[in-house]
Amino acid sequence: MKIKKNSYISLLLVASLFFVVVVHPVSASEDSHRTWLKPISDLPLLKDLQSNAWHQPDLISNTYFVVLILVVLFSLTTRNLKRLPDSKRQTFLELFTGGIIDFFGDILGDHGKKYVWFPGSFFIFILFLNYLGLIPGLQSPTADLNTTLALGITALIGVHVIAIKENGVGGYLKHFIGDPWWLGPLMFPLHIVGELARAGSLAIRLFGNIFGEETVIFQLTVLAPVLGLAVFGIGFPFQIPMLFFGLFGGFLQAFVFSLLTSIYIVTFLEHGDDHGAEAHH
Amino acid sequence: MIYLAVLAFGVTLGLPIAVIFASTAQGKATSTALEGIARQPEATGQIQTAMIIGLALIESLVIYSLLMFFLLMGKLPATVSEVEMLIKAEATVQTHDTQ
Repeated sequence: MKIKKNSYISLLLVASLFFVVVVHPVSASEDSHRTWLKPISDLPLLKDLQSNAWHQPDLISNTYFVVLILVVLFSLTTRNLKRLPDSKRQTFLELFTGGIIDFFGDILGDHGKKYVWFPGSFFIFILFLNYLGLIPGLQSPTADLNTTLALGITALIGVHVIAIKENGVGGYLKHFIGDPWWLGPLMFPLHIVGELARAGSLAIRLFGNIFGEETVIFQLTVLAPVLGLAVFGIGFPFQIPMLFFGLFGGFLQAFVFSLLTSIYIVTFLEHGDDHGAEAHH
Repeated sequence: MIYLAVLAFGVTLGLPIAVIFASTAQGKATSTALEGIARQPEATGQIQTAMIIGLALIESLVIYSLLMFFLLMGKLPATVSEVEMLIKAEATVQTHDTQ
């Protein structure tokens, strides 16, 4: 199976497009933190899009910094790939990509294996977004509700587009009506609200976890001068254990987001598997 | 002023109640997973994966409650002078009402 790189670059572009459209501040507060990318954020185009009233004023610069890192990293490491790998980086990349394909392909089943890079690219993107906050002087873009809402809405739209592609518009609507057709008018709005709640829960789960971790790290960092310098005369970086927990938590949240997306795809694909089995015989 | 008192109660009690029930549920999930691993050590990988997914889903409900906490905390007055101002404003409103 050909590994397509373009699918995840297009996902990044779509997510960032949604981002710019939804750019009204969802929560504005006085205590905003600037990052090292402040000189880039002061460029005329970005200065109008961002606002100092946000909790994270450098949001768009941070997100595009992650996009830049991903593009540079993956384009530099996938040069001169050989059929029988003899370099360490190719083996490591194959391990990483093969692991994602195996894991998500397992969940999606035979019929859905071609969609494995939709949750896979969410995983890679959200992993790097979450880990950006652990670098001192930078913040995670996912610590802002705008980014996570954009990702959740993109996941929702992607799942529904895949559902329509697989089942056709008729089968897709029939899934909303449910099994006894006479309960249709009751189940239809229920299913619609359920789908919106899925997107919302994906967004809020990711936002809450990463924003909470970042807040704890920030408060512990603030604790060093207050507790360390005043009491002991030396400031100790109290936030180091939380950074390790941030590694685990960021990975877990990216994993859960992409896992839930793939499970939502499977709930729409279950009708397709029966046709697939019949067609083989 | 009763509004501020009840708001303070809501802010402080909401999250811990969610945490109590979530930690009970997570403890049950982990203990069952450990029993499964003890019975069949070769299925450790799958059991671990399923346990982590279950724990993350339970924890996300606590995170919703944390979000409510952050939203409500923004509505609490930050300093003593703010509280005094609010009490004074309420007193003047009450005297206007009784007149």
